Amino acid sequence: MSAIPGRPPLPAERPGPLQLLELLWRGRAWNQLALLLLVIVGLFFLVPDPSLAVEVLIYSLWAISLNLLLGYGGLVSFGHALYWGFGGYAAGLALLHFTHSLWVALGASMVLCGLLALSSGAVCLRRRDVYFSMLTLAFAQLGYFIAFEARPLTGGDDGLGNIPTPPLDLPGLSLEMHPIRDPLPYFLLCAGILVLAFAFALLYTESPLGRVLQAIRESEERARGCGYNTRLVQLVTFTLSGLLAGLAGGLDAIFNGLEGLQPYWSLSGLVVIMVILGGRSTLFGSVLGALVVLLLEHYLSIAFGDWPLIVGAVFVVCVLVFPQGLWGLVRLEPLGSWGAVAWTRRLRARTAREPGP
Amino acid sequence: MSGPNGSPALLRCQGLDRWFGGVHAVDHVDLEVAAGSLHAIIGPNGSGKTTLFNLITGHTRPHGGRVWFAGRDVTGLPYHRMVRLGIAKSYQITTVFQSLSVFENVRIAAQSARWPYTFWLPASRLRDASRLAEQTLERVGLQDRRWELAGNLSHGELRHLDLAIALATRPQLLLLDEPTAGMSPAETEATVRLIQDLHRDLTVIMIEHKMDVVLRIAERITVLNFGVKLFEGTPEEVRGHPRVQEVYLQGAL
Repeated sequence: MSAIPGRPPLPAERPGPLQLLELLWRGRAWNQLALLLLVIVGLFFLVPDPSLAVEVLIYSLWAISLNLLLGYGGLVSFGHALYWGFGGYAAGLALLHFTHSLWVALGASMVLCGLLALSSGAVCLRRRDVYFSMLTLAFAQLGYFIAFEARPLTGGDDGLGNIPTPPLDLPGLSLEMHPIRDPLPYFLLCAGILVLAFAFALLYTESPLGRVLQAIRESEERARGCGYNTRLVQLVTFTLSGLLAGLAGGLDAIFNGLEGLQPYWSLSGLVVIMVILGGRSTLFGSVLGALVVLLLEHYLSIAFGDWPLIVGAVFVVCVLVFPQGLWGLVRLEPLGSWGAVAWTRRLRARTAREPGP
Repeated sequence: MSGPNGSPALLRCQGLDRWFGGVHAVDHVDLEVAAGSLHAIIGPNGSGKTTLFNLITGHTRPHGGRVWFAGRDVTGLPYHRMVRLGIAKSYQITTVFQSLSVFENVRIAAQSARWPYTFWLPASRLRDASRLAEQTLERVGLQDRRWELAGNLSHGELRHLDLAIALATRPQLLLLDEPTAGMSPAETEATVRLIQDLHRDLTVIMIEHKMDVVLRIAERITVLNFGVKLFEGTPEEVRGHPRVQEVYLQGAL
């Protein structure tokens, strides 16, 4: 998906390597899927710690779900940990008490979080901008205290532990999974779900409804003037976003065998950082953001106790220098006053002069 | 239901009332607009013209009175429903989707008639919406700028894009809120020609301050003052009406 929807592919009369790269991201949104597959293969072969690789996949899913709201809808939700956390509880409780099926447990996460997002979204979307953000935060804190107080159900601040790992049931195949001893099946499961969710989110943002969502971000008044019930479009997106976040939370809880409880406002902040750091103009940016933040966290925490300091500094620098995020940097977006990349601007100037078909 | 010159009224407002705090912004206004006509609403600043527009489009709920559109009572329907029924509005302060391309701005409006909330197929596959968007861009003369970001257009181009977005919803009735505001004489002339061209197959109501434009192209004129309808008639009648001259036309003629 390009930052400018409806932009035609560039004419490739004499494509240099950089132009080929530009064609790749600008021409067809679906090429992002290829990039995602590349990341998954890279994670598989290059990341030595398999549980880190799985976490990257799960957090990517979560970041994508938030990016639908934050990047495409312009709705900055500071309460996305609510759906992540409650998705974990739903999957964990389902596996502890009701079912041995992975799919039923994940389905429970999605249904619960979809309903939760539908009802809280209906309230939050009555306000705009910072008031919307505050309402999402308030709902997340409300959820946090409910989880904290409902000790018999959620384990309170000890977390919901001993979640059994269900077997992976596929048509004609049932695979025992042991996330710690042998994370490979779980990695493949998460990769498969991530690719499906990513493809769905791509289709959603490229669809007429997704375009309206972006139009509302630009001007809600005008979108209504085009005949759209803007609140409805935003609520559908909010619900979908919560549902995908719940799925990510469920996957995470099953992977760890535990749904811990940490303050939802800091957890929500983490995923907002991933989305903004990666670049909110594309879905792939969110994958990039999750990858970078988790890798930084992993390697810095080995070497340096106060690693959040460094992540924070990286975030500040990125927001100042690349407002379009890391993916914006890769895409050679115009970088404002940062003169060191004048050559990319020359490329942009050349391509901008070329007429459309 | 019939309009002043015998053709059926497309829009009929009866006794529209709207208060803002202690201000009676629109005071019991009746308005009938015949299908196919070009109707201008004039009046000094703060006379309730834009509020009247907002009452017609459903932006603001009237405190009293009713609105019929194409024979149907549409009082109190929300704005987006009105648009789907065939009332489109262009804005006084240009409102477009800044970071989307010019083409996408119009295409989003064009898809609303048939594919408003489709999420299962890519927008680029909706050929009819894309074709309508192309045609609309050609009509307002922006076809060469279609892959430009809307935010990069000049003021005059933005006004035309604003109009194109309204047109792409395929309205029967087009409301123009000061379509030539802030335009140079040459741009004004181009816009006047465009409005006359649109008027061939649309009913148009426009708020306009430039009296030469109004007196030249409008078929009927409604004069508002302090929310009250002062007078309604043809350009000749308005020109000759002493009260109208007193409140509004001083120095303009």
